[in-house]
Amino acid sequence: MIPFAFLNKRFKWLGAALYLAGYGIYSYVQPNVLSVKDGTGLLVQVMVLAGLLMIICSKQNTEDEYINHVRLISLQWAVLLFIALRLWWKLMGYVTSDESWMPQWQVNSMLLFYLVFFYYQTFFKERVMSIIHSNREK
Amino acid sequence: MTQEELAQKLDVSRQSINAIETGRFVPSTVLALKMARFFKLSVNDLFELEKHD
Repeated sequence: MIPFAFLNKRFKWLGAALYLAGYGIYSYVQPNVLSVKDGTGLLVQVMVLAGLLMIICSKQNTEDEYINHVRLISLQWAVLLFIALRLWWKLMGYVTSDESWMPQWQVNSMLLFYLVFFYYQTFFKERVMSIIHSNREK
Repeated sequence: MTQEELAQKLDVSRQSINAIETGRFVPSTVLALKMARFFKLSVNDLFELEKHD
């Protein structure tokens, strides 16, 4: 089995830099990322996707069963949210007969959802729960 | 003993200890046994079944 996180933890920063650089080029040049004939658009897509994948696949400081558990939960939530949002936009497009409602959500949205869930669970929620727990004990 | 120190002794992340302590994560048998051995207690002394279990 290929381990989910197989890259060194330093790749997280490289991935973030790649993602931000890709997003920067997109904001500045505004290429057509949906066209395969637009070289800059393709480069932006590759940079953004590769960057997000590097962040996701890089190891945490300590890899253990809890981190893997959170990874699984985050992946489940990300997929569910991604599908739910796609269905919602499609439904809105059908109801309003307006094509601008049709989903433009790409796979990088799902990867972003995953990252938000993962870091919320491992850092933000953990700190909040820790404060609540220590207040209960007082 | 802090969560960080316990995590280092058991070779797990601090988040794991915090999640176990706050009841958000049920550890595997291996980790439960490691914790019991570290505290020189039995697993039953450390963990107990909840009402809904």
